[in-house]
Amino acid sequence: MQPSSTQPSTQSGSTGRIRRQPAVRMLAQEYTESSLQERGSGQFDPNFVITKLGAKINRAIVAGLLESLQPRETSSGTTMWQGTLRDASGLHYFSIGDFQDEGLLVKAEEWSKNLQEGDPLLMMMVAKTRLFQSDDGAVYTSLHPEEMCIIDGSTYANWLVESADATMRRVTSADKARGLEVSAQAFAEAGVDADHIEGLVLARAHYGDFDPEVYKLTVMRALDLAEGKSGVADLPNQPKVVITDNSPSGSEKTEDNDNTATDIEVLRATIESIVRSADQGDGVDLTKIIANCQARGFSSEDADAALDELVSDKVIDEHRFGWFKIHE
Amino acid sequence: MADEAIEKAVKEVLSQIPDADEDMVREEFVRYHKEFVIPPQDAMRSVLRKVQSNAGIVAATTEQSAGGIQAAPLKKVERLAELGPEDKNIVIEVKIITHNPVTQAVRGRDRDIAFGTLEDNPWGNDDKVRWDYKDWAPSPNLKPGAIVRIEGCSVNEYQGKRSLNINQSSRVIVLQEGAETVIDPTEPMTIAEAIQAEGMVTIVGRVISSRDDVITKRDGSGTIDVVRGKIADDTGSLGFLSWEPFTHQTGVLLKIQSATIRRFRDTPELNFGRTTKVEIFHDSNFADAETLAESSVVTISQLRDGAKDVTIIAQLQSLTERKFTNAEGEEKIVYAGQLIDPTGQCKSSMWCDVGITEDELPIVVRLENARVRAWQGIPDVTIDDVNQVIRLEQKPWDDINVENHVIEAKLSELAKSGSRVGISTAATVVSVRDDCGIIWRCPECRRTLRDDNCQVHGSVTGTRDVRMRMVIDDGQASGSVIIGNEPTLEFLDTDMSGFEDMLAEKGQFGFAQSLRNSLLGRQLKVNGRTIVDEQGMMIIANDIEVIEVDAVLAASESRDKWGLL
Repeated sequence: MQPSSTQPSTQSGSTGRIRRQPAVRMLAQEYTESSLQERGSGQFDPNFVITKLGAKINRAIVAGLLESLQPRETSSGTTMWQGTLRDASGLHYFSIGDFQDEGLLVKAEEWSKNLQEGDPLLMMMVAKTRLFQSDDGAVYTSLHPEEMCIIDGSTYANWLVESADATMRRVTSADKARGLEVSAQAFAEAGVDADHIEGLVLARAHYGDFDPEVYKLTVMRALDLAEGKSGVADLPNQPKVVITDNSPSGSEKTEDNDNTATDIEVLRATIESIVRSADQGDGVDLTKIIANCQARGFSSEDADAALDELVSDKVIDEHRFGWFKIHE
Repeated sequence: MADEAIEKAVKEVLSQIPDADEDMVREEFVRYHKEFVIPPQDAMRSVLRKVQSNAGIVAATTEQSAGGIQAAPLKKVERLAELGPEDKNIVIEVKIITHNPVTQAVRGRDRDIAFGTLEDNPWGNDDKVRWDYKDWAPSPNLKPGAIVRIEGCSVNEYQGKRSLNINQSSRVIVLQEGAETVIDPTEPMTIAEAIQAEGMVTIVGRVISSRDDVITKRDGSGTIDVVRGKIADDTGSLGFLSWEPFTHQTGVLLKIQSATIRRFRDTPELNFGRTTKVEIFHDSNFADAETLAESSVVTISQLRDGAKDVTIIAQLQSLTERKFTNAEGEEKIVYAGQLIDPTGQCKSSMWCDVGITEDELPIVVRLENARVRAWQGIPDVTIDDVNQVIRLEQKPWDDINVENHVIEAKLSELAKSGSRVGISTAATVVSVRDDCGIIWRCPECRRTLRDDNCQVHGSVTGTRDVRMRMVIDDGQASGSVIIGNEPTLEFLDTDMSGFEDMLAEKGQFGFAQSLRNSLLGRQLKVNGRTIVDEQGMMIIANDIEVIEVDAVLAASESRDKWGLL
């Protein structure tokens, strides 16, 4: 008896059978930041990971480039595979063990070999979500794939768009719930989507209040990638990428991350494209330009400075105070 | 300030139990204060109990003066499983799952009590066990979602089922406030909300139909007089069943407090019992009975198995007479009809001659107070009396293309509605089952054979069939898609012999694997019908098609939608 439930119940009914949980479209950034899980009380009740944006997920559909896939001997003498999958927002960690379909283990060996030979493997997986805790108390996310397959770029692009869309829906819900008392009723009254309320209540109680705006950045990046744009902004706070060359003569080298000059070029191009695409005839106002630059990971100061440059270079005109147009 | 209070509390404990370990007592008060924000004065009794149980002192002397608690020793447990049927004076930390206050006559006196479900192991992640409880002196600290420590409760065993009694002398200490929604079961909710709810609800609604009915007890021990009907507000309508005398006429506005939502098949029903309070409500702005009755007319897409008193307007496409002999040997006639409306198609069974002739068809009819049953997921509107069928002169909608009457719907919408016929939906393929390909069916019942064995008919020679099974998912719901012989061959663009050749080459597993490679992560459009039950949704496909999505276009649509340039 659960009088509070206004959603389709995730609990088992009298029959003890449970509906299949949907596969939530999820970018790595949101998933890997999670540290909360909820387990049902019944033997067959599903487990959920709850993200900061309030997604309550038992099953996820993720995609990206396979970055690593390595065998590990378990204490019971069987082999499991651990791997990472990189998407537009970060890295997913996953493991394939003997608790999963045998077919996947065979495939994993094949993919691991392909990877060592340097084949790029763009993959999609439908996976169960899992959190685990290390001895020092840190919480990590993991995925246990049920289905895995190699996909093409357009399937990946479509997944990026779907994930971006799903993330934005959660961002919008989380934004509506911001600053409110943590209760389902308050969230519902603020217009939070019904299927997000339960997860958001749990998320807020665990993670506290925060500005979901940060997720827009990765959403923009995902959309940029899906559209096949070049000059996509770097993810902020990413460690320097160390490329390991597997060829015998190869040595480790560090990617040149000191690319300030390129950054400015990217920023200028970004501003140009914003003004070009958002101009409905009257030009585009300053706030909109800055906000869109911020959403792509640039600081407002940098964006402001770059805009000034573009105006003085006569690429863009400030035809009216605070309003900008492409110079004709 | 707090320190002072703690020192005072420590002194108090020591004065009562001189042997107590002073530092331990102090620590305990500090813990309550810091971890649970319980001031020392409120924690006094708990700390005293703990000190007593540590010292092995029976709680008799001090407790009796404090209000007559049974002189049983404190039994502190972590798990409900540790409790025996005779255990009393128990201390346990639990999470409150539900809490329903009611007024009940106990020994001729009305008493406020509460009942609900609680769950042990509230701090752990692992398996949790739920028990029912009864609170004999409703504590304001018992709220759904709260984690509490209950001191002085006892086990009640009735017909082999154990529950907890929270007694008048028990104490309830809140350790963590509930973050979950608390719907006060005495606060009215809309009927739309009540339809989704479980358990106790309070609503305000107008009676739009009501009739006396009799329920025959299953064990043949007699009958119960009940009243059935329908109640509505401007958000929807809900059938009710009153186990108590109910004399309110159609049109009366009522406030119904503490009624229970029960589900029959897929249909929620509001039950009025002994503890339900029904009173006349005054609200001059409330929609009148006629408006509500009109707005409670449903469409085919809204039909639910088990629904009663349904009024629907639909177009009757066909009507065929069918004679059969029932179990008692009587010859019966049933008229089987096909109904459509802009939201879908379904069947109708009429147990009387409604006088509609073939040359009148198709005809738009209004079917009143009908029952809905479903067979293999297809809703069937059942008519028992000729007066339930009203012919309508005019169609309330434009012409429906009967040949091609397919309703497009989102997968997550289909999952929420009842079973439907003639639908089309699209979602991502997230799983392909290994058993795609050739299967063998029982020649008697068409069940799938396992090792040449039918579940019902035993060892049989099977007939061969082709099918594919996969799961599609839109991120909010999933559905299992079953693709039979014809649509499978059509999708693969081959015939039976071509299919056999392909299967001989790839093997059954190889075939499933090739389907995975070509379908996983892709959008699949499925036309067919759905069967929705508590286990989820199944879609029986008439045809399937992979849809190519233009990611660039989709991305720019998404940007527009969310204002991301």
